[in-house]
Amino acid sequence: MTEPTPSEYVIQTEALCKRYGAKLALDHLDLRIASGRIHAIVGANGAGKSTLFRILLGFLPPSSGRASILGRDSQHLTPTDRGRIGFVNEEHTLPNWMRVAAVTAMQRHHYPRWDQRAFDEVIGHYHVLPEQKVGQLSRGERAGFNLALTLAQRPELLVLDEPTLGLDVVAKRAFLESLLYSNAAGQCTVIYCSHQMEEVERVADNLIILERGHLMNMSAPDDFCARVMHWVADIPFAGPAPASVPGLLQVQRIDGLHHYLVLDQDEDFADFLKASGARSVQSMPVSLDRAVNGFLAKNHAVPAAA
Amino acid sequence: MRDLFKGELLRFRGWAIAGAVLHLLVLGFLARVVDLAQQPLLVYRVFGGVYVLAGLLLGLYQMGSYRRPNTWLNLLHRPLPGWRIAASLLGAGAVLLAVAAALPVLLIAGYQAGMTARVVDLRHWLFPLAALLIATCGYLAGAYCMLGGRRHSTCALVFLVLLAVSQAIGPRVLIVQALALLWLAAMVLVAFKPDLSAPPRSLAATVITALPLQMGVYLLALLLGFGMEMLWIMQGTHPNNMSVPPPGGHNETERMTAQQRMLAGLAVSRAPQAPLWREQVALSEVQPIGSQLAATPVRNELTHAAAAQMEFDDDELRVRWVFSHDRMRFEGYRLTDGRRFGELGVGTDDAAFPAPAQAAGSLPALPRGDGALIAGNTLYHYVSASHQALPRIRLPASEILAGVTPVGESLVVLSDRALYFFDGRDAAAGDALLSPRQRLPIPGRSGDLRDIDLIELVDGYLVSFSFTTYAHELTGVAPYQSVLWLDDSGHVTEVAHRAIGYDYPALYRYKAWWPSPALYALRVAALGLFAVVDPLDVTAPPPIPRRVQLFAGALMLLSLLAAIWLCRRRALSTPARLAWLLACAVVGLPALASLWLLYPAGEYATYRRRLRPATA
Amino acid sequence: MARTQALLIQIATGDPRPISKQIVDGVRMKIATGELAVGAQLPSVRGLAQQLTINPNTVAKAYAELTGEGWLESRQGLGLYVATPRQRLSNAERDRRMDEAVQGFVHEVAALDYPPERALSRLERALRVLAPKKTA
Repeated sequence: MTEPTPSEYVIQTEALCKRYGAKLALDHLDLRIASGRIHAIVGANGAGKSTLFRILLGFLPPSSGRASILGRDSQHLTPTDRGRIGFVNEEHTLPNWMRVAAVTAMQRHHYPRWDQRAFDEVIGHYHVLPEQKVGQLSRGERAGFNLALTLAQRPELLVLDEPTLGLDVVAKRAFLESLLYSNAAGQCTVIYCSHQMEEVERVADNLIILERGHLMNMSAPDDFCARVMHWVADIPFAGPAPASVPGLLQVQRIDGLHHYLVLDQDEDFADFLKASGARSVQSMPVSLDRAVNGFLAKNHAVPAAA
Repeated sequence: MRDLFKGELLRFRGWAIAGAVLHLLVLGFLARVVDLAQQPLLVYRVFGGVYVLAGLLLGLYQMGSYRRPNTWLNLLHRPLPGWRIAASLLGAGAVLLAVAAALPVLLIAGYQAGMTARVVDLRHWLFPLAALLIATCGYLAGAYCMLGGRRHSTCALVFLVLLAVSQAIGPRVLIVQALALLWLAAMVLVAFKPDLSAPPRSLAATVITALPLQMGVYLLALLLGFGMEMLWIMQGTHPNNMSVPPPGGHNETERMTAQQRMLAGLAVSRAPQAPLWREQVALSEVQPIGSQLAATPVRNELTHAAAAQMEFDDDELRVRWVFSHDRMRFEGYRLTDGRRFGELGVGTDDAAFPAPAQAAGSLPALPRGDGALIAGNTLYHYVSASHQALPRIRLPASEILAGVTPVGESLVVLSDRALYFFDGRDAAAGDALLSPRQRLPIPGRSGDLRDIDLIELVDGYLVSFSFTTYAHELTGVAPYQSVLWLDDSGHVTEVAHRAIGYDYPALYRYKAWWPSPALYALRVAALGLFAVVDPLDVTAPPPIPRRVQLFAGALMLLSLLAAIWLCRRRALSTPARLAWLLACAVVGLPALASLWLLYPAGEYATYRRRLRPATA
Repeated sequence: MARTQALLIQIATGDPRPISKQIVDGVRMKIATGELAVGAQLPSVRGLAQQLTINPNTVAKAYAELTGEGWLESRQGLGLYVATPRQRLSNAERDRRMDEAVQGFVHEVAALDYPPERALSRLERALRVLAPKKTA
């Protein structure tokens, strides 16, 4: 695979920092997202995702570093650039006092590349009537309506910031279906930000993990999953000091057995465990959910390994 | 763009219609009870205040609903330039205010013009426009308060203060209001950007934001001074409120009786007759000379401080005469049934008055129903029987007739320049124009003049003038009292000149000046924009004392030094830094405060590190 | 022309196997059990992605793997079809995988304390599902 040239990156940041008082929300972030496909960004709360999007869309100035989107410096986006970027936030902010038909007409007039078929295709999944007030829609309908509006803009880049937050199972499924089935979604680069690993597993081509303003991973979800292994060792005494365990993400002692979640360890890890006094050693792959959570939990408080 | 505008109109249409209906009901009720076109300034101020408040609330609510981060992003992240989005929202707001504030006023003006005999002049037809302009100013100020940076956004309110205190007169008031509106609109447009917390970037944007901010800081300093004065008053040592005023000061002079004042003046007199006069003063009555004009009326002024004087009732005819600026005549309607009675002009052919006329009460020896009218330099005798206004006293054309006081057999007429003495018996006898017996020029400026006290002598008049009106401010002359002797031959001699002490220290009197001489000048210019100087209010301010000048200079230097320190800690380009240093040196502390408020510490400091990696 | 045959497979998120692997396994099983006959047409990439609510690229990846292993064949402009069986792996690779499978099975069974004969008969029954394919 050839390395994309800079213009093929829809999002590019260089040493991007954002400081709120003493806290660094983004810490010298170097992120390059190639054009096309669906990229999922995951990260714990406060990992800097929302800050990143706000900077990328020019609504916050970076403290230092550079950020560009669709090849344009984020701080100097033109109205035309904005027309090429769709953004859906977790609240699905829409003018509550307007009728569905009026909002649709407004967006149709604002966006020169409006695609009515794409709108109809998505809105068909929902029971939304044109004369309804936006404020009267249910959360799910609102999300679907917002998605329909955004896809009908035929954006080149679609950013979805936790779009299914607070939706019930049915609405979540409907949202994902309408996103994946839409022809419009197939034609743009999608940045999908979510806490829902189930969704990420279904939709993502590429998994980007942010933590504390750092880029921690950028690979296909399967590849990431393959990097994490779950090892179970029967060590009669106290196990090795957690600091000495290579690639340790998580350690737990359950019923006298040591469970290790480790990153980037091959079969040599078995030898390490045996050298640490393990009588038996077993390993198994883990699900994406477990892998990501283990990864994100790494820097958080760990229960003291007995 | 049209969709945003329409959406916003629909969003608030219920409120606008409800507001308009309520407004119309209130105005309709009041129009039944009183003549809304002839109210004193205070009434219009109250209505204007309500319009500003309504606009302010709309601006705060509307922009408050948009300024939440996600909503703001949703609003601005579209292929439309920011100014067009702003124009859609603000345009909708202005239309809503036109419906709620201006339309009812227009309807009521139409009702008064079409259904009653009341006077509705051109100036009244401008009221709806003024209502729209000030409501929109309030609206834009509210919008800016929400959208501007949290630390300084309330500075937009200075324009509302300007609306309240501007001295502009007539239709040109609307120009001042329109200028305030344009400036506020520019401020909102400058603030209408994706990153609400960022300071303005371009030079124009910075000036548009910083100037009102500096004025706001200056106003705040004045308010602070006012608050301290309140404390001073509460403490009980304020010269205005001390039970015994400071001896020799202007408060003492102002609180004296006419007799005491005359005696105080004569006390310093070196005239040989002084002891004799003092005896005479103690025995006979000293008469104060007053003015009937609160302010000189100007043709087509929208409002007048003493609107009650622009109309008078003839109790014999049961007719109310109301002065019409359009016709320059009084228009009469019957008090019994409200029907039109007729027109009152000058002389037998009802000619137009040369200047707006005011009722000046009655004079002794006039028949019942008759009265005096003042217009410009002329006093008219209103004759009820023939309902005519006959000119009786005419001063030189360059002077303003301010009042008439009967003194014994004489009539003493006050103008902005002099006192005139007429024979009172001639006044009662005929219809002819009177000629003055004597003229006594005022030894000072009309605006400074607070008290005139007069005593009749065997061989003339002794008149005391005390100039203390603005002694507590920097606009007033250094207070003094002058006693003049006018003898029967018309010869004037100053028999006493008494310098009166200040009750307040210089820093107090110049408290509007030294915080920022530049902004004081700007304030004077802004308030005087399109104003007509009232001849009755002209003063002769003394030069600013050297101590106060030095103090102001020291403050400017201090703010320059502080600005040098502050600029090092803020991310500013070199030209911007130099401009700010210059502003701080010229404008003084308010500029320094605005610099500090516009550029918060912390975050932007890191910009600098980015821009100048060598210093990092 | 063969009609598209329904492909009734399930995928589960949260499974250690990636979704594309689950599809590969599912299709292989369907072919092995004869539910998908040789020459049957598979759902389009988009169709299967819709059916499973997953990213079409994931389906495409699974199909590519199946085609690469020779389970499916692509007919230009028509779609994917179940291929005629052929030796899909080298002999060595086949042996290696068989060893792996046997070893895994033996490890599991060992823990169950099952008599080998019973285990063998169970295994035989289980493998019988593959029998029809042999005759196809």
